[in-house]
Order: sequence, then structure tokens, then C-alpha cells
Amino acid sequence: MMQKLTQFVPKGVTGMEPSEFEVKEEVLSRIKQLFKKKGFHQVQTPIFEYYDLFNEIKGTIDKDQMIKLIDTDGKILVLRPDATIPIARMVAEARETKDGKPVQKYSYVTSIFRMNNDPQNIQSREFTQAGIEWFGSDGVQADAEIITLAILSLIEAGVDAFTIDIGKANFYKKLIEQIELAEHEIQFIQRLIENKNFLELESYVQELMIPAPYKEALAAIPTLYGEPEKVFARANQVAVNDEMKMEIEHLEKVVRELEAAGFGNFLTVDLGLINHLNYYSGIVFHGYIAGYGQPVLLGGRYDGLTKQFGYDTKAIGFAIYADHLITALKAQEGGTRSWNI
Amino acid sequence: MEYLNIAIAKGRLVDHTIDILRAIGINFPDYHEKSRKLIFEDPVKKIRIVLVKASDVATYVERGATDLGVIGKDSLIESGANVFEVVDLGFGRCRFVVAGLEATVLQKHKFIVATKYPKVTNQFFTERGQTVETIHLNGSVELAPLVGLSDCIVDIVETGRTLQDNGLKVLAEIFEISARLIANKASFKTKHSRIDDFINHIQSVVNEKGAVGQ
Repeated sequence: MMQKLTQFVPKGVTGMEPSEFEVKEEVLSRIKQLFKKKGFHQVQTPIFEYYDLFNEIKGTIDKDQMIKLIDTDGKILVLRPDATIPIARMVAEARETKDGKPVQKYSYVTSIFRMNNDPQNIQSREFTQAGIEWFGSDGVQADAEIITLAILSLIEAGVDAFTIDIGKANFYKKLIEQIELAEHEIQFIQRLIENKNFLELESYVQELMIPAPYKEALAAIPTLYGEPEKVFARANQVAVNDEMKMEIEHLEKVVRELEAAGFGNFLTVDLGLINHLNYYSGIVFHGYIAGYGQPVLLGGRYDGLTKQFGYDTKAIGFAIYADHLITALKAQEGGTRSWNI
Repeated sequence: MEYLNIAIAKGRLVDHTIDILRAIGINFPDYHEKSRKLIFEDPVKKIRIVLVKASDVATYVERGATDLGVIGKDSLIESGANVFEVVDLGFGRCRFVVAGLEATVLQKHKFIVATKYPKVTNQFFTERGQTVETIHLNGSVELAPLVGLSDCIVDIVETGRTLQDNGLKVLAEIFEISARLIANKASFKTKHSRIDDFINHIQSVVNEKGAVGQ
């Protein structure tokens, strides 16, 4: 063996020394307590699962990113690439076996495994997610409640300055459904929207053979972000049908709820947040910490998921990327990641 | 007020960027072309620029070491970075081309392409339905067909002078590129009013300059 045994650690995973682990455990226990206080019950799902489960169920994880193993009978297994899908299965099972109302509020703190493209990052292949899933709830109240819990979690973890960015992917979906375009054209448009490439989208849309109001609406989507008030006004101007207006109305109500509860300062809105369109069915939200380059929290409504397990119910949830959160907290305290000049 | 940090690709994009920043009232008094410093700041407007290698700009921005970046579209595509691409700055215009000796037959079986840009190369030839072998070089790509390392090259050209001096011809056009202003997704949200203002100012300068044909 060429390497020393102490250096013999695979890429993308790492151990944690007591001093680091205690910090992480402390933050996670505060978050766990908060979840419990709000009536969420912690569960555990298997560390490996059949690949086919994640292949057949519509989710948010790229198949290439799953870490695969071969079972003794030749079937392909994957290391837990996501917590939500196994929990959705648990809910569908529970409904069949128990009498009375099954548990509908779940929480988890667990390792997630992915084959990331960034082998330099020592936590890119095994990282901790802490999150909640709430089944059977719908409407403005439920959406606002879950976003409130997301905000409270970050406050509880000790974050000083953060932003919860809220989107409504259906605003875009209800528009693009009305326009006849080839699949590759739609893919291209979505990429431009996701990258906020305003100008290239504008000139691309102008070339399409579609009615002018549709052009205007499509070109406007990535510009519909920022202060909720301004975004809603502009969104209503460009909306080409009532369905789009209803999406805005719902989002507006959720934002009003949150503002009334005193959380207005934490919010921005972005109608160009359209990642994982086939998975999220309603509101979507990302949490960002000031000075930290990546989102630390992702969530949204995914009403279609449990139906694929034969149990049709509503669902909303979010996940906190605990390791990112800890790194961001360190930076906040003037650690190594802030500018030293 | 917090500083807004911008990574700029070292080389020809720096002067253009500094010109645009000057036009919106941002100045770096100690900047001059010969300086070896890598960080310059405007303490009044709270803007800081750092000069990094072109291929590293996307990394700085994606990982949030800087909020914004100025980068050629060529490097941006090659990086595959997950960032917002918010303004086409209009300068640094050039073209991605396939080039080679005049007699080169593009349809040849087992075609070998030398390039600094394997992603763009693969994408172009895949779309044409052609399988090619790509050789990744870091510079002086024009040499490859001359010494028999490859059949042709994929590279960016501005005037075509280097190609001409080495006896190469443009065999196919891929697409045009220019410099882009990119933004870290988290900064874009957490500092949105500042970044928004900045982008709007930059965009209006670019629009004016565009009229005189930069």
C-alpha cells in the first residue's frame, strides 16, 4: 500500500472529531426539539433500498447520483439517496395497517448518500439532513405553518441573517402548458429561467411563433423576484390566464400570513424558482444564509408523491442541509470562510 | 454596508470591466495594468474586485467566495457552474470554431479533435451525430494539427490572426460568445437589493455602449 493507513479515507466522506461533532450535535438537538414541540415524530428509514424504488417513483434525485450496490440475488441497491420517498412509503403503509388516524407529521435526522460531481468536498458523498414531512394538510395555513417552522429552525440553530426565498413553480407550468413547443425548446427555456439569463431568454422568446402576451409572460418569469409586493403586481400584469392569477393569489396569501406573524423581513419571492417541476406541485422554498454560497434549506409541496404508493394524500416538507448549516454558522462567528483583509 | 465582491478573469476582460465600473462611479485608485496586486477596492462604494484565472472565476462565484464574477461565456460553459448568468456584458466578443488545415475532411471516421474546451467540443460533435476523440490541451492548441496530434482543433478566435499565422482555416462555426456577469445564487437572494441595483446600473451602461458597437 502506497498511502499511510491514516490517509486511507474515500473521497467525499469524513469523520468528525469530538469538538466538531459536539457543535453539530448541539445544533441538531435544538432543531430536533423544535420539531418535536411542533408535533412531528421522528422516524428512521433503511440505509439501503432497492434502486427500482427510486427509479420508478418520481423524485428530485438524479439516477447517476445514487450510490449503488449489488445484492446477493443480483438486484441493485442504493444507499439512502433521499429521506422523503421512504417516508412517503411509510405513510402509505401505515394507512393500510392501523385503524384510526395514522401519524401524519414525521421528522428525521439522517445521513444521505450521493455520488456528487464535487469529489474535492469532503462531505459531498455523505451528509446529514434534518427535515420534516407533513401529510394530509393543504391550503394557505399549512403552507405558512411549514415555512414558519423552517424560519424557526434557522433561528433556533442560531443563524443571524437569512432569507427564505419562496416560489410557485405552477405559475410557470400553467403558462408553458398553454404554449406549443418542442421538448428541447422547453428544456432550453427552463435552463435560461433557472440561470436568470434574462437577455438570452428575451431574444429567444422573441423568435418563437407564439402570441405577444405569451412572449411577454415567458420573458418576464426570471425577472419576477425580490420584494413580494412588487413581484405580485408585475406577475398579475403578465399573467395570461386565471390559473396563473390563482397561483399568485395563493402565494400572496401565504406571504401575508407570514408577514402578519412578523416574519416579513426574512422573505423574498422568486417565480423563476422552477427546479424539479414534475415533483413539486405547489409552493417551493429555499433558505439562504447571508455570506454562505449555497442553500442550507430546501422544501416545498409535493402532493403527487404518495399517490404513486397507492395512497392519495397531500404533502409538504423541507430538509435542512445540516453540514452546510454548521459551516455557515462557523463563518458567521468569524471563522475561516469570511474575508480576512 | 457590506462589501460586494467581484471575481474577474485575468487578462483582456479586466480593463473592459474596470471601464464599465468607472462609468457607474466605481473607482479603484491603486489599479494599474502592471500591478501585481490581486485585490483592489473602492472603499466609498464598498466594491472589491479580485483577479483570478479565467477558469477559476466560476468556482469563486459558485462557492460564494465572491458574490459576482466577470467571465467569458467559453469558461462559463466549460465550468458547468451552478450560478445565475445575469448580464451579457457585450465585450470580449469572439467565436467558437472548428479549425484545421485546409484539406481536412470533417466527416472522417475516428476523428481526433484537440481543444481547451472538451465540453463545447463534445456537445458540437454529438449534435452532428459524430463520435470524436477529444484531446484536452491547456494552450497553443493551433499546434496540434500541425504536428499530427489531431485532425483539427476547437478553439475561440477573435480576429483569426493566430489561425492564419499557423496556416489553419476555419472549417465550421460553432457559436458566438462574449463576457458575462454571473452571480452566486445565495448572494443574489441575501443581498438582493444591492445586487439588483448593481446589475441595473451595469445593464444600462452596456446598453449605451452597445449602441456605439463595442
